[in-house]
Amino acid sequence: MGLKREAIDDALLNGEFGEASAFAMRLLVKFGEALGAKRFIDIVGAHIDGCLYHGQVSLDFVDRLVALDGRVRVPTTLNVGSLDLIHPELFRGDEALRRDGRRLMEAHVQLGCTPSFTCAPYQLAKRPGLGQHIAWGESNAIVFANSVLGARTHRYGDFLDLCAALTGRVPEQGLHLAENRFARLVYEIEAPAGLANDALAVAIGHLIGSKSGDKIAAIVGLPRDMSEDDFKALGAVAASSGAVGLFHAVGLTPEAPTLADALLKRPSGCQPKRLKTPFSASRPPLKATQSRRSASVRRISRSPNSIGFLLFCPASSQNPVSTSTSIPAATPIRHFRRAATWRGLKPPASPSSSIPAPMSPPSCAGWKGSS
Amino acid sequence: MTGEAEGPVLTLREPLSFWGGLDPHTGLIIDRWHPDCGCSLAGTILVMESGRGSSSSSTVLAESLRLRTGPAGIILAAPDAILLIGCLVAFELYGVACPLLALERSDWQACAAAKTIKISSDGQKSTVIASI
Repeated sequence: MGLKREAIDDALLNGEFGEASAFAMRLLVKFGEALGAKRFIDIVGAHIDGCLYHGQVSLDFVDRLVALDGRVRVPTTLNVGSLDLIHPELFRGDEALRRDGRRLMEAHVQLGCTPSFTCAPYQLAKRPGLGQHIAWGESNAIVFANSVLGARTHRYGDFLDLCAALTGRVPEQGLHLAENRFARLVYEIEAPAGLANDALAVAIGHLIGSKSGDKIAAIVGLPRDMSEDDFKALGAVAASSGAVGLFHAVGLTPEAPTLADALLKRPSGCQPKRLKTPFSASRPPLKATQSRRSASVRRISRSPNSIGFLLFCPASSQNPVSTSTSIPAATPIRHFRRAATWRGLKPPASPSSSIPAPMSPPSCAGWKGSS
Repeated sequence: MTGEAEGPVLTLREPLSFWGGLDPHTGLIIDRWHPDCGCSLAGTILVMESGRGSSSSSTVLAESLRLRTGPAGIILAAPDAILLIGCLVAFELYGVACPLLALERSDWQACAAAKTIKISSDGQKSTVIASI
């Protein structure tokens, strides 16, 4: 089979769009071949995580692209840099780090990137919409774009996001493919009364990240008034405690109006695991005694929809997740709640419906790409 | 990526986020919550279940390869785009080859239990020889 190239891909490789784009395309081809992609697809935008200075390699890479007169081919925003350019006098670090960090940020702007310098590009005015392909770096932004906006990005690392921006193309693989976006794990949440949504979001995020790795989880039972900020926290924690690039909050996020939708494109023979999460703000975590576990498993397995239920009991785990899942209601984590109200996409209250409406797809005006 | 890599196996008990978890100047794991904190990746065949965390891990891996403090090769149980691009860039900019393989679970487990591993790749096919 191999990786099929269209005329535009060959033109990019042959230097018709400049040597920087050709260099970027060579890396994309190697990357696509290694991951078994079959073809390239267009992206409508990119978000670059590589402008934060991590060492000489950061500069070596971008300087080569600048020297080759590189220019991004799609609207491209930038993640945080090492330096506050508005208040450079506040920097207290090493002089070489200040100089090189600043140079790295400026080099990205020279390539045509928008100097947004934010790790929350999904809170900018223009953001991608449902089904649109993008190439984003920054793990918290990736999981938000995929899960909450329904846009499609793989988990791009530094370098590759910029290669995608310079070409407007990515190999079609991973989370760009619909068949890779179904849930493999189902978490049933018993959200206790009194636990603030933001604290719950952090606890669930930690659980999913540490228990799921890079598998996609569907979460059932989240409060219907989860805000964008709550999902931001959930995704950020899941992405940093695991390699989560996408989750589905059933009834709340755009690709999972129902659990069946989250599981719809599941290949036959692949059964999702169900992990029940006995969260509680008021009662202590379940004791991992055999008798109680057995009782719980029996109780759950009487469910008519049971497909090999597993009981997840935080107290039986060696993982520190147990401390996160028993956050008392009296000490909610407040620092995730922002002063600004980014709650415009909260699902409309529909008390008569058992399933709340999914978040409406956000506007994608301005994300049409430049080519 | 063509080339060969050989070294002692370092099997991590949990996935490591290279960003914030690895000091590229020393090659040591510095994430104090990681169970293998303090271990050196330099010259090892790193056996890890999957990638983890920050998308900046590409750069930290590439920087450690530039400084010759990084692993000689990486063996995962699931493909990881972020680590892959770190390896590709280190090869493109500095000619340092760090082969990265994603193996079937049973093969990965055999590698995780090995003492030393030799990886040979001709660009199409890779051979892994694990010594117990």
